[in-house]
Amino acid sequence: MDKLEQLLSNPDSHGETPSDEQVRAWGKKALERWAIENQDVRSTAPQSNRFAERLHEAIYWAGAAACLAYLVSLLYSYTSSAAADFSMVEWNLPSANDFSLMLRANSVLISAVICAIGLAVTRPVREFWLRQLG
Amino acid sequence: MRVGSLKVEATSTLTAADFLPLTHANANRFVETFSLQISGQVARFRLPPDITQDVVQETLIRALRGLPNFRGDSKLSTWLYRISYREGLRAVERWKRHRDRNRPLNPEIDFRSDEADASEVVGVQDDVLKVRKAMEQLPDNQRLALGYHYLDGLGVAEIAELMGSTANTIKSWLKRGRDRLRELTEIEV
Repeated sequence: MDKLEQLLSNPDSHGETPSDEQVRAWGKKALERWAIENQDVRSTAPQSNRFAERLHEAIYWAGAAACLAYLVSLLYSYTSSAAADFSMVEWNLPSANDFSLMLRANSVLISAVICAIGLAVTRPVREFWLRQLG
Repeated sequence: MRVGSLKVEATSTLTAADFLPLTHANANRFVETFSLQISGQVARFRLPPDITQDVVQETLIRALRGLPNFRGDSKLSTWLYRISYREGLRAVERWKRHRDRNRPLNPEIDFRSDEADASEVVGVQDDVLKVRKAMEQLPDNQRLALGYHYLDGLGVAEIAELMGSTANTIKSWLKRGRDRLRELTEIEV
């Protein structure tokens, strides 16, 4: 390191800098401005945040209900297929197997769609509000 | 001036997690820890004191806003360098526009001068003062690069990332800056 480089490593060579008092005062002002801004965000955000939380919960509960419906239909198809076959043939209705398959297919579809919406929509929504809250 | 590499080294190991959750007490600690470093960096833009104050405050507020979402892709100190650099550049641009608009009416407002005046350096006895005077005559990019390199201890690659340039350009700015300083100060190698 030559003489010039040594001089460049000296902070005084780079010009005047603010005094300790100035720096402290600026920091204090910045902190005050941040605190006011932060308070404003917090006072307006909870309502919107509660809405996002409720939406998030509602979609997941709907998904859980659809999954439960699927399990019930699955159980139904295993336990009552033989008896239902016998009675439904008499009335010329679709068989219980057809009915339960249809129900199963629908419930799988519904639960898949709801879960997909839950994952794709609510997570970004939640993150968005968390970001807004800082 | 107290903003030396020692202070920067002390803050370079801190992470965002050291200040989270961002309560008022933690925000206060963050401001106390970094305001000196940020003020030193911003002062090198050579803006009038009231604008320097605005830039320091804006940098601190932006940092506090972003701190909870800071992912740690870079060091916290590097992230702060980037914020203060961007804020400083914006302020310089605003100041230049303001100065150009007001120049004919109010010539004494010309705080920053782009014209080099080598005669100011000649005759200064103290080497530190000589370098300081000569630094004032360097273009912003060369002066800032020299500060980041020699004062803050940043490597060429880090400065390139910070200033949005290439490593070769930074090397060139550093070399041209040193050469110009040698020319102005007549300090021997």
